Amino acid sequence: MKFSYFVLLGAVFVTSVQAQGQVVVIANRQAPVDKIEPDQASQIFLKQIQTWPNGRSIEPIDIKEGSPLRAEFYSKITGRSLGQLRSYWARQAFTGMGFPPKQAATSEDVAKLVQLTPGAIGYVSKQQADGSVKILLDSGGK
Amino acid sequence: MQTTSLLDRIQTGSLGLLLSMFSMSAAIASDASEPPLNPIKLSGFATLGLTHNDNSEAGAIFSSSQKKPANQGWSANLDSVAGLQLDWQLLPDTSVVAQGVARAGEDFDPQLRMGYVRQQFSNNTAVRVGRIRSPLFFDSDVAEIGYAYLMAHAPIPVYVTPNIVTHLDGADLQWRHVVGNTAFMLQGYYGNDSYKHRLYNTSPVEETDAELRDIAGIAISAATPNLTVRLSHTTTSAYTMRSPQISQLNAGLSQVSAGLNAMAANPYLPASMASSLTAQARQISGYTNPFDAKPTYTSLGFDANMDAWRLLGEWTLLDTHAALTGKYEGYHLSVGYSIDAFTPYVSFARQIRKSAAMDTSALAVTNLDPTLDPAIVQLKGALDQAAQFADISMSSASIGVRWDLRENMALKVQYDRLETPNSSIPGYFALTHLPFNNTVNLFTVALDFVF
Repeated sequence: MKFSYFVLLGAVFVTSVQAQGQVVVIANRQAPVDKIEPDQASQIFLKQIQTWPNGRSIEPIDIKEGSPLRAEFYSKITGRSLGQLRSYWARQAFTGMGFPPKQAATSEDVAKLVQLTPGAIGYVSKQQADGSVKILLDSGGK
Repeated sequence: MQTTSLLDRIQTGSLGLLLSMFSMSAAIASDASEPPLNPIKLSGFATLGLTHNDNSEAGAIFSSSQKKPANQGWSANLDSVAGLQLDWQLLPDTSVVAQGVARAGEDFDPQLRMGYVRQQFSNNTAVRVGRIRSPLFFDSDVAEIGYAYLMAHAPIPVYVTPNIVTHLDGADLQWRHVVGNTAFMLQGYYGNDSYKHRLYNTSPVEETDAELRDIAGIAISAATPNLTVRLSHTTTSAYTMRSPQISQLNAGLSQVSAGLNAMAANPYLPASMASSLTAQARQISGYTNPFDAKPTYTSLGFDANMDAWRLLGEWTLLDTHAALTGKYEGYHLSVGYSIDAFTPYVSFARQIRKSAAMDTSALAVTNLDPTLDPAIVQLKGALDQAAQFADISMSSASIGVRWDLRENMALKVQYDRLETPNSSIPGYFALTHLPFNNTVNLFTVALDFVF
């Protein structure tokens, strides 16, 4: 019994480590690019870059506050802590210069929204990125 | 219809009324995501800041319009502020924004900080029409939103000037363009502003009606993932300041000038003396409305993130194009280093007058008219005092720490040492007299949050 308990704990730990190492940036299949750099991803999610190269609007989809994937994405891809990110959006919102991206409750919802929304871009754990979306950036390869 | 009603209420109503209005929309709003998912959204920010000032002669101020300075002892007047914002996405490309702000230093009287209609014309171009936050300096639009700012307050020597101009009633045009990973934004703006400028050296403190007309400017910013640089230049057609005391001064100057002209008209006076008196009369007449100016504001600032480091800096030039208020160069540099949720920082700021003090030598006694000369002496005293109180040169050294203790909440502890070049230069302090003890130590504890 004790043995299986530790095995279970170990499995949870390994899964968690794997998930943390494998956040991927995904986009709707119609996105006009196949790959982006971390700096581009950062600018897109900070809404500094708002259009794809073909002129179409980019629709970034974020995951709600509190998700470990969100912390991992911003730390790994944008180099910003969540505190810095909130401070950035407070500045944008209360000076009338912009709003944070749309938010989805879970990474499954992000994948679904990205799949259904032309121009959408999001981030999910690698396991959730199936053939219905394009993988533009793999943080594991960063 | 609903929008007009909201704006009117913010401008004229109480904060309580505002809150009750917003509570209706709060039920509709759900989270912090962008308007298309939440057509009506309520958000807000607040700072509960307590500042200890060790100086019995000099009050600390956020701007020269502040009703109650942070005087000796503990005070909430410097940084405490509450703001509520309503965003309403009317159409996919059209939104309405209203933001009301109440500051402790203003007895929490609500003021409309933003109230505009925003129209997005393309992915790159948008226009805002109505009341927008001041774009004069790098951080002038964010200076009172504590959570969005690294320090407890923006450097006082540089930021009291733009803090006076809290908003523009007009419009701006924003145009974005991306080159590689660098996002450029060009912002053109135009508007007017009026406020109560307080002359702290008068008793009781005189509230003058100040107005800035035709504020027009352009700002260009370049943002990479780790660096934002912004250059702006703003011009105005006129800055005017009116009050009963200034009118009294003007009347005195006009009388003296008329008296000198009357003397010059005396046919028995030698021609050279008559001409000299006429010139003196003209010069004295030129002192009328001495606070009036035509200021220009220039700023070059940056905000950089490098791993755990944060570096902010700015150079500013304020040229009022007026003899009394003068020309100033300022700069500030702040460095922070994040260790988990803590960011200790240091900052240094300075603003220094680059033009000579106002020359009031035209107010010289004539030794010709015993009734006119005392008036000239009195007027010279008043103008010299005004010129002395107009020097806003000062510097600050600050050290503090920001602790992002919870989601949407930060606690800051900051120490500032503020001083002016000498005890006869008031800088940005609320003073009743000169000279004064020109070193002020401030200790601030501020809790910032947003929702």
